[in-house]
Amino acid sequence: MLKDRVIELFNGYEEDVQKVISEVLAIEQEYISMKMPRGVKEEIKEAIDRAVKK
Amino acid sequence: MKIERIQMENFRQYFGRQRMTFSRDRARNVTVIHGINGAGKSSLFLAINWCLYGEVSSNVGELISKEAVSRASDGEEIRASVELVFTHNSERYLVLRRLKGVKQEDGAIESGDEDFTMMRTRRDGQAERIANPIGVMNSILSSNVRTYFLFDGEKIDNFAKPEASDEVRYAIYNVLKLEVMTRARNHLQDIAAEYRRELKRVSTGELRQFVESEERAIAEKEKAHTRKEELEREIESARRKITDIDRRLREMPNASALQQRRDRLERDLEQREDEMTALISNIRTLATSGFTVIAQGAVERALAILDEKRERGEIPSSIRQQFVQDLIERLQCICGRRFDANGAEHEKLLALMNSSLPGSLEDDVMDTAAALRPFAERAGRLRDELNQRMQRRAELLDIMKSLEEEIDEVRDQLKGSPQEEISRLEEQRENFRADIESYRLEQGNCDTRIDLMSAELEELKKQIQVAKKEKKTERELTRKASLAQRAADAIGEVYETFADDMRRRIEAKTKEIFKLLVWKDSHFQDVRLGSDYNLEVIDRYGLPARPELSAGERQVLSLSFITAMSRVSEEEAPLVMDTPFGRLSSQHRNNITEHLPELADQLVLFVTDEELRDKARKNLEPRIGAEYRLTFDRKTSCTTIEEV
Repeated sequence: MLKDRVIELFNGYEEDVQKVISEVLAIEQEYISMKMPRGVKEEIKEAIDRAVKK
Repeated sequence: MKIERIQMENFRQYFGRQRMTFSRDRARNVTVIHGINGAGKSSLFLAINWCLYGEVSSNVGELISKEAVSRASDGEEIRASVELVFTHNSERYLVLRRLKGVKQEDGAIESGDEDFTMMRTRRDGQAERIANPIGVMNSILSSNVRTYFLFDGEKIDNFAKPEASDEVRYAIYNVLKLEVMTRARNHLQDIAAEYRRELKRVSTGELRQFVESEERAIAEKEKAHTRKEELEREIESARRKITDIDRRLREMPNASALQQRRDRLERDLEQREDEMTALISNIRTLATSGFTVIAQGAVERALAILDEKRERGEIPSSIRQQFVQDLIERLQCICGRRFDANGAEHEKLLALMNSSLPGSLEDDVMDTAAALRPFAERAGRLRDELNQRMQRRAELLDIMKSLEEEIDEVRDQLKGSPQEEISRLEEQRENFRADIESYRLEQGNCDTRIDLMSAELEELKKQIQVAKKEKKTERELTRKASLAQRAADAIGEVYETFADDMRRRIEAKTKEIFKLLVWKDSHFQDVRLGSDYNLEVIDRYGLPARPELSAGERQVLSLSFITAMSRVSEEEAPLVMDTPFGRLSSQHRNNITEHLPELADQLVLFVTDEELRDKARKNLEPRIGAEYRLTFDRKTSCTTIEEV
């Protein structure tokens, strides 16, 4: 699937970068139908927070 | 995504409940729905779109069945609903969208809110409601790409128009996740910048300053302690020397008497000093309750007023107000004799009422007086005690002054002694005493310094705690900013390559499909999708041929592009096409019906009888898994779905 192909593009990057990108792309996909989605940045920050604490 | 079935209830001309099952068989993946113009193909197409995304253009009219409305009474609630079942990534979903309306007196319908529910059937067979249906739907087939999978065949030639590069770019951006990547990169960059701003705010380098100040304060406090101890040893040494001098004076015949007198005087002075210390402490304790003395004047005045009122007989009043009130109300004396409301007895009782206090107020006055009296007595006692102690303090000061004068006299006598040894010893003694006083003074300075440093250290300790917390935040923010920026950079680094790769793949796939579908395949040599996202067809002369394409050829080019995107995206998605062959000649129809089923995971075609006949029909037949006819009833203006 294209989704997996996109994730594979980042295989050469650090693990935390891969994890954040994977989560952020999923979040963005959920909000893709909205032009100015509310709450998307907060969800991305939570993903970054989780990755940093891990 | 593969659509399994649809069920409509009172949706436009589909009155009552109607159901259709779509073919999902890999070999027979085509579902054909026949219907003449106006039979309900577009309404069924609309039902799928409305159910999944809820959006309909404003010119489609009412969604609730007119037949259902006509049969309802005024004020009755009518419901229209579409239920769609589909599978995606081996999971089964049920989507239900409902619309309520209330019939008005004039026959019109007042629409209410829409209700959207999405359920997912887990592998164990249990169904769970999805809390974020729009988000999940966007992950499956987002509304901004749906037009490339569910479309009106007659209106798709836009991509092939010369001015359509923006639409082509938009389609590629959305279907191939480039838009998702762009948004992700932009948001990550924004967030990294936010973290950096926050970092700038919190990282002031204060912790280092505080720690340095703490180290300095600790060193200074330690220095003061050490000096204080040194001074104590100096004092002790000076004292020992004085004791030694005193002993030697005591042993010298010409100084012995004076020294013994000084010993007594100093012992006496020491006792008085001890007494003075205890007395001052006692005075301080008494002074802390001095407010009673300050208030004494007001308390005595209040008591005097109360006593005066008592002497005048105003409090407590001889007759209770309530008692007089009861007599007036009954108009009867306590002896049982009745009196007139206008009589002298009544007048007398009213006068008594006016001179007496209400019961509750009188009680309060008495209670206050009782509370004030011991307060006044205590204040008096306290003042007496303070006076006594202040008097004793003055006495002690006089005694101590007298003792010091006597000691000075002894010192002068010894100092002025004609015996040089005595005079010298006394002078040394005086020097040692002066040294002790200086040491004591310096010790006091050390104590002040120690107190100051202790207070400063206490404050610094708090500031360090706060700064340490900020330091932790600073470390976290640094890591977050770095991670967000690295992620944004990573997306930026792969983006161009990925976008270019996708563009080339679509270009190659569009060319491959176009050559299959177009009947003049030898005339059109190439299809190019440039870096400016311009979709171009090159003819056998190597020249751009798009301006010369016929309407049918533009439609075929657009269909090739859409199908190519669907293939390159690798998403499992249906192609739902309303009137796909209306404007196409038989050559194109034949090619499309021959090849399109292989290019789609699931193909749903809404066709008129004219669109699908002869060779086109024969081409498609082996791939048809389900076939329906939409029959419009002229008497009821309703459509029914019949399986063919």
